[in-house]
Amino acid sequence: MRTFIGAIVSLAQGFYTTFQFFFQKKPTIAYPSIKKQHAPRFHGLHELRRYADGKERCIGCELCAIACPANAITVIGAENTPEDRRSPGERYAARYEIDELRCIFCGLCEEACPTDAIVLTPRFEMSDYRRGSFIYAKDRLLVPPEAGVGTSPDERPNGIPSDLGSVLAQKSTVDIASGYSATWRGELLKTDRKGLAG
Amino acid sequence: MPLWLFVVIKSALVLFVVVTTFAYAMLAERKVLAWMQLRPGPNRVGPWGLLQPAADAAKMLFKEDLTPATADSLIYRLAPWISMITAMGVFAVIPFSESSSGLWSIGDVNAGILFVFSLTSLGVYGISLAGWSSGSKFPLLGSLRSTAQMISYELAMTLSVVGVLILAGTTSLAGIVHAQNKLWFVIPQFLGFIIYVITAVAETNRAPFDLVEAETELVGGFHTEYSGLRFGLFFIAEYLNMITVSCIATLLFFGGWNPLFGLSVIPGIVWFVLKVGFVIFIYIWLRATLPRLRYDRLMAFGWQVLLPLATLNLMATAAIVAWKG
Amino acid sequence: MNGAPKEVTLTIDGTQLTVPEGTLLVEAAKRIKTDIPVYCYHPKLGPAGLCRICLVDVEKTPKLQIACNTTVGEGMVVHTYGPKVEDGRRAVLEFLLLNHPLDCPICDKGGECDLQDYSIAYGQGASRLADPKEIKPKAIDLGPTIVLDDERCIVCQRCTRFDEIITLEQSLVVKDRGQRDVIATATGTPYVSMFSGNVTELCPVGALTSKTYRFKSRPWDLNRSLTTCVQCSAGCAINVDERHGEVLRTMSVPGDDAVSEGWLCDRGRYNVGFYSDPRRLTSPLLRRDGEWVQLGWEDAIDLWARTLHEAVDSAGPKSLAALGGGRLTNEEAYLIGHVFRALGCENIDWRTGRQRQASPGPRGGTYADVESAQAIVLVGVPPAQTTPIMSLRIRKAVSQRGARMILVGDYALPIRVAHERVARPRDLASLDLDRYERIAFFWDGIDPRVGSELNEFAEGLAEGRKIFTYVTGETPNARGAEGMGLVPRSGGRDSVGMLAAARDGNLRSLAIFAANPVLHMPGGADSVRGAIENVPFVVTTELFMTPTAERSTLVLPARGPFEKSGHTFDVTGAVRVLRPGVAAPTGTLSDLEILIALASALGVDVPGPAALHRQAALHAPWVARGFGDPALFAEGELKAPRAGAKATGLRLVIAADLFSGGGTVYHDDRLGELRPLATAALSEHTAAVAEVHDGYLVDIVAAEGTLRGLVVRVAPNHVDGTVTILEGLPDAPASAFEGGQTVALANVRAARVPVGVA
Ligand code: SF4
Ligand code: SF4
Ligand code: SF4
Ligand code: SF4
Ligand code: FES
Repeated sequence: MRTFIGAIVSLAQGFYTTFQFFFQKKPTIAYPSIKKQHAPRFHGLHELRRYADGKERCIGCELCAIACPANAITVIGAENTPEDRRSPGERYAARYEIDELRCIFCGLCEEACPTDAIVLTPRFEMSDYRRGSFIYAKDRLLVPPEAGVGTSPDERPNGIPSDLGSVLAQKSTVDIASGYSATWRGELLKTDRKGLAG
Repeated sequence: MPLWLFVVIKSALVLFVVVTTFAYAMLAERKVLAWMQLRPGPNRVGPWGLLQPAADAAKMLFKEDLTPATADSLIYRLAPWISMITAMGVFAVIPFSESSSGLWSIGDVNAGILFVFSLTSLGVYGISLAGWSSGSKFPLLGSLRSTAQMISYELAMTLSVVGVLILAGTTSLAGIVHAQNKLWFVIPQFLGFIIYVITAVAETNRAPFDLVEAETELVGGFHTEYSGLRFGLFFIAEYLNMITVSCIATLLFFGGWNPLFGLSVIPGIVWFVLKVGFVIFIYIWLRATLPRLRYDRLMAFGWQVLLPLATLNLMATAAIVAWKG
Repeated sequence: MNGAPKEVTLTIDGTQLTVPEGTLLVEAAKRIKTDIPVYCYHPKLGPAGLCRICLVDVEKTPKLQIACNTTVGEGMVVHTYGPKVEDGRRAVLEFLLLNHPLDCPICDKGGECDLQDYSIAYGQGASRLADPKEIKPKAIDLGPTIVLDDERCIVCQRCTRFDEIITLEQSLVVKDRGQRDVIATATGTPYVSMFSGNVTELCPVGALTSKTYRFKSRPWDLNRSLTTCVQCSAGCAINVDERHGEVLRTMSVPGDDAVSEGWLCDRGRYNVGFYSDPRRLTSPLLRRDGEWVQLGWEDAIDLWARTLHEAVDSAGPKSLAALGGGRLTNEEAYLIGHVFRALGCENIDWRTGRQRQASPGPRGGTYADVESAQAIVLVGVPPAQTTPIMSLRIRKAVSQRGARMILVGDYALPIRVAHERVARPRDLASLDLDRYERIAFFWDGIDPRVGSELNEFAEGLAEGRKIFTYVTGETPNARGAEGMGLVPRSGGRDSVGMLAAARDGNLRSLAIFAANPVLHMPGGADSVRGAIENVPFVVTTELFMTPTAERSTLVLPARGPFEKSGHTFDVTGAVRVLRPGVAAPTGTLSDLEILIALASALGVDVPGPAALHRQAALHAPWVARGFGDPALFAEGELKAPRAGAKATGLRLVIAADLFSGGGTVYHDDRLGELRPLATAALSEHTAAVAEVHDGYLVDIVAAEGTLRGLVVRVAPNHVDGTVTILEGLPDAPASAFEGGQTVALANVRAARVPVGVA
């Protein structure tokens, strides 16, 4: 009998709780009509920085890639030539891709980078209908030279653009259909091979 | 006006009203659930999300309708219609109100309650055939559960209603309502009412008895393989069933269109709708509050608790009526 | 150390162990699984005592000792760690890092760098240097393969010692002294060596890096698999490092003492870019009305099977022929013979180039036997050109045991080392070889007449002596192909006979497995091409559209050696194992899969995988009874060698470059300047007489025609009165020309051509 009454009471408590909630004020923010101010060091979409002279900071060292706990970064280095000098020093990132779907925005890549090239900006609106478009290659990560220089998001002379603007407007070289960049031949091969083996 | 035309017009009217009710019952469910979970709920389509049902319907219509290669395609295509037609058929006998010109229903059947129960128990065929004909594992499991659950709870449900029938002395739905002019049966038949509410939830496969489509265990249960319009039909059937059992509850226990506090200035249909709305609200409230039962507990509860209680209730009612009568 | 070595007992870190007298402390420590850090010491190069990172504390000695150059002593008590040792190492590291650039993020060694590792283990974490660091040149182009960063060099001298002790080439040296010392070649010329890649592995830091791998990847990105290099018949174990479906680099296998001793030649190491070359064939191609049309695999195999059946039905099995297999695995070679013999075809031959024989007969020796030989006789093309790793063993025998080296023929040695030279095998009689107990004979397997003459001589010597014979031919798995039966039997035609039959219109169907006879078969490209075009249905399995594939009816895209598994025989007949190291491009099949598909389309039963592997991993049979075994050659090939050259003009020598060939080298864009130029190489004396200079352009007029536009290379070691041209270059095919004939230089013109590989 005791347990029966206990059961009834707890049932009633449950119904009371949900009934109470029914009338409470809802904490939901009506995004996107209302946007919340995020913390100043919010970890959002990445960006590759440049030096004041326009050279890329990234030297293609892959330290961000090895630091990344989500294995989201792929870097393939190459050598600067006198005719085509991308970064100071000998090496630059010929290919730099972040899979923003894998990224957990922990910022460890930023920590690992010896040249402060990769930084996380507060931008977070990057939804899209195709998975492939979440692989951000250099064309969308590298800031245009006119965006100004700086080593951290709060050091942006020209401010932080409210949307991805011109950076995103550029077309990606990533093969949207397959989700891999076209020259990532190996990855494509591997997926193909699975099909062949079956 | 020939009788048949009259019936067709009445049917069309009832269907229209019922389908609209279905659409807004769905919206209401989403809203109420959301509020009970401290969310705003659908609010993007139309003012306060009021056009959400239309948007959903359009989406359903345009989605691809898939039939698995392993499915028994005829039965697979037929099953949703069985579910929906039986769910709709019930409304043929439900009286919504009464006025001087007569009963507000498509047809007044003197064994109305029996017609209702026979149709709703046909509805299970839609579900079990859907699961079986999908030719895949989860739907099959879902339909097995559904069959077992229906059989188990059908008994208790019917028994719980018999008490009302004894008190009213008739199986005509209008007659039952008239019998409640003084006292709603929810008071003398409180136990019966509770059993009816619980079993009705189980009969309509709704939370916390929605084991038939328990997504954590069975993906989508019997409708895993369905998509597009056919999936939509199951959806409609489920909500129509919910409205049906709410109507029955109103008719059997809440005095149908009888006004409360003698406020007979308000038309009977308004009272009816309000009462049905209240029962539907209870359904949604249940869903927002209670977690899903374990399958063995569900069966045990049906056979070991509800059925004996319903039998007891029936015998007690009969004894009292005999003793008094 | 003669007789049984004495044993000494010592204690290292509290563990007592007994090792032979004379063992170095660093090696003794390895026995108890204690690694003492080293930079300059290398087990194959010996101690140098230069870097002093290996400091250990030996009780009863006042100062720390270097483990790499201290031999064990009875009752020694050694501590490899402890505050004293770590203090010493910290000081050493502080000096090593004094001027070190620490550009680890862009350094190719980063991640597998001993300097990084030991700095983390023993370094003090911060520099006390207040003055600017010494600036030295970076990214110095040391030669066709190597880039040097002088700032990173810690002057351990492993690279220079490798050049001195192992290859005997002595071109790398340390220039200048103190903190200004740099690595350079002694002469200031580019560092050219066929073993150059090894110094990048030896270098404990990132000072020496490979051009082909520079900045390509990081060690942690690479998926490594252990397989066998099949670029030549040496059979070195090789580690394949793959990333994104591309072979980015290959590394030697330190434990491979039976064959490579932990070295690799540059061909094996660097010629791996072709695996991911966009020109790879990825779909069967059928030539229809002069156009290539793509075909599905099933259609292609069906077509092939149908044609074979039709040919057998209409013209008998003698109208079929199968060529090649010397570049494939044993399994594949076995199946070629199995499938074609099942059709009744006996026209089966692996010999599609100059090499005509693969197994040396029952006196065949092992790698270790080379080292023990007191005299080494090299007949024809020396092993350095065909099996470079074998030549390192020969160099070891010469430098460490003073073996006597004798060359037969006109071929030049790539290094300066004392040797004698005779013109023909029978002239060896004058050299008093019966003084020696152990003699090694190397033959190139090309000219059976030379082979049988050599055989006669060697057999004559054999009494009471150990004779080791080797056929160091150019075909990678010739031993496997020959051992698996890809030689004509019971009246079948050999490759020369097949082409003759083709020319006469007697062949209905020819299958060419992974071979390029148009480029390599003696007789010349035009003649082979004509013969192939005369066969109604020619199938070629290839990775690329080679000149041979271009003439075929059906080309089947095959897989390379790093893309499949199987077994091969090395040059000594030992079984080596292939394992896939990189994913093959979609659409390709290995020759094994092709053959199995063909067999099933033909209705021929094939042995199951287990039986096939057993068959392939048997010990290599001695197919031949000795050099120039008549059983392997057609009538007429075994006539006595042609009479000596005429008095005037130059004798033509046809050599092979390490990077000769029309397939893998031609389709590897990473090789760059490693690809050989068409050269005419002369000795200094000959050049002076002929009045040509290094870099001139000449034509060579021979009986078969004229070779035009060859770049003159004046190089030491060439025999006076000879001119050496290279075989196997797609742009200047030399297969039409017969070696040994007298030729004339014509049309000499001065034209500066960039320095390439001589
Ligand atoms: S933020 Fe974290 S998860 Fe995202 S790329 Fe950087 S390291 Fe990887
Ligand atoms: S972003 Fe920084 S850490 Fe990543 S590769 Fe470039 S330089 Fe290295
Ligand atoms: S040699 Fe080693 S320590 Fe020096 S820069 Fe390269 S990785 Fe760093
Ligand atoms: S280049 Fe490398 S191997 Fe050569 S001395 Fe310097 S550190 Fe040693
Ligand atoms: S390893 Fe001993 S001194 Fe260099």
